Amino acid sequence: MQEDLATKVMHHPFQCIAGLEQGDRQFLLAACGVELLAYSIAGRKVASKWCSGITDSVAETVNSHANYSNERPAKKQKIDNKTTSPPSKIISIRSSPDQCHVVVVTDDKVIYVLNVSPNGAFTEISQRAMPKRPCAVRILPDSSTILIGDKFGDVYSLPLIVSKSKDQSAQAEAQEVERTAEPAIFKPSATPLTVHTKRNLRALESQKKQKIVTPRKEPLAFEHRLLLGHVSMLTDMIHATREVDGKTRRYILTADRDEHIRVSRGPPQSHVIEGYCLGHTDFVSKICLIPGSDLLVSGGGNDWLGVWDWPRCELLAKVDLRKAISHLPSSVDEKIAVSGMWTVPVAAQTDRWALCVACEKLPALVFIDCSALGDGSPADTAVTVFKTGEAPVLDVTYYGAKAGCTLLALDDRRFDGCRVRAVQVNGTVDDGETGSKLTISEVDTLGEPLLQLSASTGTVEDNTALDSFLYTTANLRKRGGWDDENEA
Amino acid sequence: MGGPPNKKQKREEHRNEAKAEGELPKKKFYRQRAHANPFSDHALTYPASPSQMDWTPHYPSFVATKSEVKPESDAADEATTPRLDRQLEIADIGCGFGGLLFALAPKYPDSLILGLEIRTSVTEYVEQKILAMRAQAKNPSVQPNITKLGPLDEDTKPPKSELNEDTKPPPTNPDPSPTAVSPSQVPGSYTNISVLRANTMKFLPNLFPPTSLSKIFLCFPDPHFKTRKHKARIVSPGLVSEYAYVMKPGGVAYTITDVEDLHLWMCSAFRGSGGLFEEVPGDVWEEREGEDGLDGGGKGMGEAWEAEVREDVRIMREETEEGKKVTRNGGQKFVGVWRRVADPPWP
Repeated sequence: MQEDLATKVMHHPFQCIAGLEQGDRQFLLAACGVELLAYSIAGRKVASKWCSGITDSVAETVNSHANYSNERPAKKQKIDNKTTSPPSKIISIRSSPDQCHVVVVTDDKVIYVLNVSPNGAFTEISQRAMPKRPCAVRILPDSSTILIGDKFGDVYSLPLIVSKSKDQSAQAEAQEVERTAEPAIFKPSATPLTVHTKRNLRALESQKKQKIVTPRKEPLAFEHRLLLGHVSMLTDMIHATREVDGKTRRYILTADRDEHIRVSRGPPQSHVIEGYCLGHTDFVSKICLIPGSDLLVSGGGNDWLGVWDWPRCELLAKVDLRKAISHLPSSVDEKIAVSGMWTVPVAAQTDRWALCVACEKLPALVFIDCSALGDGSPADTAVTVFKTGEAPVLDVTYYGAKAGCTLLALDDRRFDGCRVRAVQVNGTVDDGETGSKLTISEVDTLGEPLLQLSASTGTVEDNTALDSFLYTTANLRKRGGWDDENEA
Repeated sequence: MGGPPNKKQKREEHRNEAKAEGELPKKKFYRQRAHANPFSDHALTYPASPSQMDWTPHYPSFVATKSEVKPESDAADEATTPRLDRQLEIADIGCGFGGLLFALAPKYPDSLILGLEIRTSVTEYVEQKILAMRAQAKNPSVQPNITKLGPLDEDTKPPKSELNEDTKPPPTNPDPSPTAVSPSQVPGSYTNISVLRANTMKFLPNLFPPTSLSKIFLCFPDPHFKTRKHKARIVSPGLVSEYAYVMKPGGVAYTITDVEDLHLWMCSAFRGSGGLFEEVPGDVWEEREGEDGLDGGGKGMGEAWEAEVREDVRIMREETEEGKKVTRNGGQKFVGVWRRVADPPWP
């Protein structure tokens, strides 16, 4: 597909999309490279654009936060208030439940919070640099706290709105520490008594003679709290609530590369583990809650998706993903890596949902009727595969819960290709003879202007670099087989 | 023809040759560098979940008879996984060459004790030694390495249920293996201990069901001095949550190290666990004069429990290889004892 267009310019796909509704105005938020667009669906035009990394008058003061927060200042930001950080690609966008804010995460580990006006205009209100690359961001239902899971395995909570006074005192503290303390002389924790071999004893003595200076490590200069940590690399994180005895209980569910799905209590008791959903034999990359139920669906490197009763950590069923996609030519020998899972509404039916599953680099989406989950393995008829031509699916969102319009962001880099497609999920009801079925149909609500949008923003210089930016899930598979002798 | 066999050859020969039954393995052929990276994807095997783990090869004396098998909620696993007649209760995380395991075995002959170790050759050593010790217990005449014995008893195993405070092993001697007591007199005959090569940091929840362990020992863990390596420490705020998860309320976690910095770090991890662990103060577990298990003056948890804790601490201090090394070098030992309390109520 792309070989014969070598002479034509490649266009950057929309790597993340999200929906936002302000009153009766619906917007499609789409990230294209380093830019974020707000596209008004009714008005059929781009309402505003935002680009990462730019310093404006609001960001001037917060940029210095980022400088203090970065552990490795040499890379992009100098310890110098005047330098702006270069634009960095967006890796995640989330709209807040109250639909007034958008949280944007970029490749350089910075969390931006943007305010969205009823007209769709963006105003950047904060930038915070995290110590490690975030892999999952959620905004709590009260729209005031953000949960961030990072690759290192930690989950943090941050306030959505940066409180100026609190952060200023945190920043002042950090500055104070920086100014008054001398760089610490390294003092070994080991003593001659704790060292047990001759060679180590010699090393310890030479350490004492040297004057090694530990570079000062700046603490994060904004309000944050560490909630829990996995030893393994975290891949996904979601927040859940349940009603028990009339009270709301909050939970955090985390998935990691070592096949674990952990169910922990929500803040402030996140150190209490309620249970583990164990059963996967390969990395777990995505977990998804099914609305209106106690079901959790998980996917990763296995050929199957797990359907769990998550409060009881019980595996109820496995959905054979391999079977569902086996007729697609591109999938036959490839190992599965689930790259996305979303629940989208079934058109014109309240409280009926479809689970939508994307596998990395596969030009198709698997739709599963959620009402068929939880009673053992879903019947074949409950699983529908929708092909997207030759373009893999990057992200899925929906707007208008009743009308049920689902939007798919596709990796189509042709200049006349379609990067956002609108479909509708229709569900037939089980009439006793044929089971309930889902059909996916193309919808034309967005029309020409969106296709034009697809064609205009952002170009691609390096296809391979873009591939390694977009497609990282398969890398989670462990190579293993390291010989301990070699390692020691 | 080279010259005489080199080190590697001798090591392989010793490990691979069929040993006479009951012959103890020699430590020098099993040494491996102390530091293994817990974050690497070793070629480890581990069960997908605790119910899928078959422990019967480890504890063949405790295989459940048909009538003892309890109905499990997971029918598929029940059908295929052989079961033991009881759950594992005591874990030695980072057991090294097994000193603690062999000392604990006769103390708790009715409890299953598991040593976990990430290094391959060290695990092999412990495996071989357990097999040897068990064989010696079955057949007392096969004891080539033991020199310090008195007259042997008849080959009768003592009843497993007896454990008096009086039958302590004789005073320790520099030899690391408890050879001063004839293995056939050892309660349990070492059938209740085993070792597993595992990465505990990552796969603890895969091995142990929740609230199953009554004791965890963390002896002389790798200090990982550098700040960026602190995450590799076997005790950290995140891991304390996992230890709490696999432990019964009322269970006890024991830590010991000779590095004061590490001790302070571990204490703050257990203290900062949001109320999952309660510190057991030094005046409870410090050794007492003329201790014979029935001292008065215990508080709260009962005298028998406190005496047991004191004995566990004494064993941890004195019976591990590292502990003995530290004593020889004149170093200090810092002990921590933590009792798992019930989960806090939901807000």
